[in-house]
Amino acid sequence: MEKLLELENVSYSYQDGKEKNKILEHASYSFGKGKIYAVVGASGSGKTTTLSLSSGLDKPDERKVLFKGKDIQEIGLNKYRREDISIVFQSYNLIYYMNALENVMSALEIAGIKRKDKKEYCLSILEQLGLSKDECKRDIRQLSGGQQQRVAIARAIAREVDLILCDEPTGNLDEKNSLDIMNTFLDLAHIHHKCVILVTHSPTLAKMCDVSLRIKEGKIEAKR
Amino acid sequence: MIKNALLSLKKNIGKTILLFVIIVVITNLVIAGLSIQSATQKSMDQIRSSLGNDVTLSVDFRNMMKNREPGEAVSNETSLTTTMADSLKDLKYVESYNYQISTSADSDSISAVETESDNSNNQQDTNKPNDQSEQASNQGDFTISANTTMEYLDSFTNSNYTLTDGRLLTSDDANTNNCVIETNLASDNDLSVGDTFTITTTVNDETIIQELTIVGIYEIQTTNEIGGAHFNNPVNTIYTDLSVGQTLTGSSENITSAIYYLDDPENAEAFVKLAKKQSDIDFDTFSLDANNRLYQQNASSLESMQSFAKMFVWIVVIAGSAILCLILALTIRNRYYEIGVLLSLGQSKVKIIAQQLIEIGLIAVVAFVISLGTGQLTSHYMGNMLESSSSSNVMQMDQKGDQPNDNQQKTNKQTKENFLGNMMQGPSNQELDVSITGENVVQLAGVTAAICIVSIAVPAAYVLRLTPRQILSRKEG
Repeated sequence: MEKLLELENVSYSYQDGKEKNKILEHASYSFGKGKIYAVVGASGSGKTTTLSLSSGLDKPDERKVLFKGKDIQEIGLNKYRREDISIVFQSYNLIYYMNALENVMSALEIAGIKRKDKKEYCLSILEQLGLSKDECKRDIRQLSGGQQQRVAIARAIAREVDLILCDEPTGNLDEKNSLDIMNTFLDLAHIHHKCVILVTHSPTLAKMCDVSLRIKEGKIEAKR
Repeated sequence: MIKNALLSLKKNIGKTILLFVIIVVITNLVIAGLSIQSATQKSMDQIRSSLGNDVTLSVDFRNMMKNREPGEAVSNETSLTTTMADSLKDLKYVESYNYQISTSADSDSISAVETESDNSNNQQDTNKPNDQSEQASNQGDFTISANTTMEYLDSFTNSNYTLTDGRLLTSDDANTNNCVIETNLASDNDLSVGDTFTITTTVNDETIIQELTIVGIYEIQTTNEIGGAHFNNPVNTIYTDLSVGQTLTGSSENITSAIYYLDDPENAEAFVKLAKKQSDIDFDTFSLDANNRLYQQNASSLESMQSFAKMFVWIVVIAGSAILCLILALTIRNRYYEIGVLLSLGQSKVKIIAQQLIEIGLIAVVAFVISLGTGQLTSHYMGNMLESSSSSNVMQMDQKGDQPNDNQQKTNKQTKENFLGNMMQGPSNQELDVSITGENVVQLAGVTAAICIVSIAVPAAYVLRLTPRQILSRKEG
């Protein structure tokens, strides 16, 4: 398996008053392309921390996170987030003053992707994910949760990166929408050969993933 | 970025309007302050220019009087010397100079012009020019005004006296016995250009006789200057070369005063400072007078208005920045979400701040343009308000306070008073010229830009010191 992302003995803690809470302690794991990974664990176990460190939203206290064999801090966390990964959040994290299409297009602009057919390209992704043209141009706050999450996923897909990190992407959605979204991620991993890492509380979704990882006592353990 | 900024402004129309109104108010007040500042500066420069570009070095009798012990006599021995005067003539700002000796003399060959008031002890001398003597050492019939050159004498440059025949004395007349006399004196004595006459004086019991050759005849234009006792009557003033004055006073070194003509009236204070720094002259005994007293009397109200305007601008800028910072700091809480999203997408912090700057910059540009129109009204309103509050004492000449304190006092004082009086009290000039200048526009643009940068940078720095994860985790709060 081609290693895409590696957590190499990563430790992370945070200060809570006078106490220092250790979240991850020498946690290691390697993620490869073409697979979908579920990260599960109790609340506060370090699932989101793992995702934050993997996505360069935060830095580990010790050791490093490697992307394609290179320390992401050496790549530059901003550059890494801009060019190498996409993140999908539970609360969608769309820019509220832009419509669906503008949200997707702005992600391309930030990534510095220049396409002549940018608008058509973004529209086609949104339509593939089930949004109509009208919905694409509607105020983002007038879309349902499922639609907003689809926009967020469209934004992630449009950037054409190898690694997609998702933090509870179906946490705010009903079962049907959750399954639709999950199928999209499965397609991204299995058809488009992406590496998808999914933080979830849902055992059902975890079971659908190729690999299920549990964070326990600061370590990453593979369940399956 | 500009597109995103415009989208953000459109979507947050309430905040946009609030910021716009605040910036319009701030820019209006700033431009009012700036235009009042420049208007007062302009008036002060006018006053300084109107007082001439000359600085006079002379014995400071006023200070000597002040410093003497009660009952102690003030020495008459103290004299300004050409050596002292020479030490300043080559300093920066000096374009030319005139050394002057004022004395008096009698004559056996001509008679002084008599006036009805000769025997009365009138007060006409307050109107006397300073390029004549008010302090004749021995009161003969004639006032002798000995000069290095007559080219810059106030009475002639401001056309109070006009040449009717011949020429004025210049530095080319050095060490000659050439002289210029008044037309009445000439006609009473049947004199014309080319004629000669003699004057006499007594120094240390020794009678000195000096022959003079007339090279020019002048006429006094202002009638109220004519009068007074013989020696005090300007028609009996004889202008000679400095060497004649030195002969008549019996001293080749002492002079009454040295007048330095500067390249620019605004350099008067700089010249005085430089002179005090670079020369060995004792400035407790001698004074360099740039008409500061007259200037201070007229400019003091303007100065306080200017310092008020300066303080006002600073207060507006600081308070305006603080208010904008506060509003943006309060609203940036709503932008946590957006900043977090942009950071998670890999947008650089610089570009995030730049977008916010563009947003406030767009508002500020519109506010700025509007302020250029409304600021004029605000300036006029504030200018009038300030003027009316200080009109009772602003720019009024204190006639009594302007009495000459020595023989170097400005001789064309009356003319200047008239000028200042007209400038400050004339109906057409009752208001300060608070029109907005190009400089004001540039200053306002700078101030507005600075306020925008500060008001964005402070809240942004507060947010962007956090990691993207911290920002994203706070957005919900």
